[in-house]
Amino acid sequence: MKLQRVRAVALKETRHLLRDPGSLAMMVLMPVMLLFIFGYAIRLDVLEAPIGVFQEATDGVSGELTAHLDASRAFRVSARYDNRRALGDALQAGHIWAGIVIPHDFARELARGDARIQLLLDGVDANTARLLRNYARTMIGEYALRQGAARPPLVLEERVWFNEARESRYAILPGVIALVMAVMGALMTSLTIAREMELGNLVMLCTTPLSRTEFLCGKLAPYLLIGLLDVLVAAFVTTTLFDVPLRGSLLALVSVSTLFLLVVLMQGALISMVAGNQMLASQMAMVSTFLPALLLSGFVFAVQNMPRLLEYITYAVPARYYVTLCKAIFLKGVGPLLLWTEVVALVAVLLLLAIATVRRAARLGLLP
Amino acid sequence: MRTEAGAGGAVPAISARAISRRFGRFVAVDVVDIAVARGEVFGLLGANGAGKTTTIRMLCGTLAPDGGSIEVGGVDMVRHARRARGRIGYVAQRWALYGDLSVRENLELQAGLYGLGAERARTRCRWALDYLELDAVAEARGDALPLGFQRRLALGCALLHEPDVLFLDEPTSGMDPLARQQLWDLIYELAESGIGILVTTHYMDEALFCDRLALMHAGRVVARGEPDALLAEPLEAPILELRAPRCDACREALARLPVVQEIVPGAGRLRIRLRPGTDVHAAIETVRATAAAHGALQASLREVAPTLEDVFVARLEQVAA
Repeated sequence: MKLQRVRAVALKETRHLLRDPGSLAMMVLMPVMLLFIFGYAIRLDVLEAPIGVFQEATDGVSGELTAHLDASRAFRVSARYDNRRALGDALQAGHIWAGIVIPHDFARELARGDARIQLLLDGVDANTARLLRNYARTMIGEYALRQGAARPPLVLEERVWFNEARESRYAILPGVIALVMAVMGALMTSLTIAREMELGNLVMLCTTPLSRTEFLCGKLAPYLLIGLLDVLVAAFVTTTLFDVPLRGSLLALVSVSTLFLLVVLMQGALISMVAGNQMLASQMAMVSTFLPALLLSGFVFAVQNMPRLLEYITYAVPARYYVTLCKAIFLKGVGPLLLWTEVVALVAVLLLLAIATVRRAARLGLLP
Repeated sequence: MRTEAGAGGAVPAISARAISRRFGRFVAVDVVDIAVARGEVFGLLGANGAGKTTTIRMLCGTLAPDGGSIEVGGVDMVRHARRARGRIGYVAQRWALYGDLSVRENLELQAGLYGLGAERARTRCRWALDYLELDAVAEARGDALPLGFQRRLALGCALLHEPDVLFLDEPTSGMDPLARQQLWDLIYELAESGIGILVTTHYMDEALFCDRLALMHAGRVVARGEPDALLAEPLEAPILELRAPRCDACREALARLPVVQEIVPGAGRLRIRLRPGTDVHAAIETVRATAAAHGALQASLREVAPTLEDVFVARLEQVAA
């Protein structure tokens, strides 16, 4: 391997990028855009959910309970109804996400120590329904304690570490960075070799003393730099605009990102050669990175909750390891040394991909 | 230092011995020998599918032969591929450089790929820009250049590392006559500087410009030699030329004559290929009588010297027989 030839290819590749400002801008701006879309679109917590209340009696106690719910951050009493049917209709129409029915004898029963109220939930969005139920339970419990109910003999003292405010975007955004880098990395390089195959440049390259490792290294180098730039921009946006803390070191983030980028860039290069044309290659790169990184990386859906077979498949998804590393570096502040299994897994995937890519490159006609 | 009996006793620029290549059951190249001496322009001719491209790909080292040996300047192409590739220059028929890079950038890339040192890269790029008259367009994008300039740039890129052999695949296809002539002048100059040049071409007039020729057909070399020597060989099938104002009128009648093998029409003339072994004098009388009977009274009819194309057609017929 001769560094001069690698440099010649890398310089040429950089010049292609500079000659095509549209694509270059896309490579730098797309991650930020995706970060915004995902950062705002994926919310797993509920804030000021609209609920409807039907008070069968207009006594002070019922009114107090309603005010207690309304005052919380989770709920907002958006409408009051004077019969059950109207409440049910509103739930069906989706005007409210949950309904609370306070019976006419609520005050008396509460004094007796045996009160009941009804919570009606819109189960179409099962996750939101579950969240609302948990919130409602907690708040009714608080209210009951305030009314002088006896403390239960056993109380769970909970402390949420690493994400004290239980903000879902804390958990999501580091994962979004992983998702975005997986897609961008593979997409960028998926076009590059296919383009040379389409335009016939390989005919010329094959008659020169250029070797396939020199060719691949030179091709990937500029994209690694762009990828790292993307990671830095994404980290900046995440920590400043979304207020997610970066508790680990930037160096740790850059190191694991370099490793992960090499994996996805290599994946893109392999796809590029297999596809042989830019159109097919970009589609293959999108599908093979986006879906696994979204669904099988543990980014939103915990790997541990998946069926066993699917869980095994996730071991082959490089984004899975990067998601874990990103979340840990951002929120837990631990370094890659503590999570060495993930690092080793990424190195292993990289080696396998590199071998496959160099082997496939033999068909290009370049020197070994 | 190895020496061997090649052209003039020196190591030939390129020598391929008994190379073959199959694709599945199809034999693309069937035991072909090719040697190009330094300073020689060697023409490889043949129709599409005759095996020219496969041969050139093997000589360039981008396709491994199934059998036989290839040496470039004495270096084994298969065993020392990297060193051998450093000694050849290749100009593809299609534009294979980078359209979004400038002329200078394309040259710089090539210098890097061939591993030239910084100083040598600078002087060689300078040389290419001057010698090929590309200086004025040095900063222009490759895809903005006219065809002739693109070919010259490709030539410059292939010559940057001062190769022993230069491969030119259909170098003049699609060019206007003036640009073609200029390119051939350049080819001669390069050959005189001691490079061995292998050219493929479709044009018979260009074949005459070569020092030596090889005609390929169905994967084999069916004719080889210097153009003059090939033309001087007597043909089994003599050729007559009939010149008459309206000679088309008698064409069908002439074609029916038993002595006539084929008639090639031209402007105001017919080229008449007789059957092998025909007595020319008797045939001239028969043809003249038939032509006169069909209105071509003031016809001039004589035996003519064969062209290179005639020679090749005759060879191909021999092979087919």
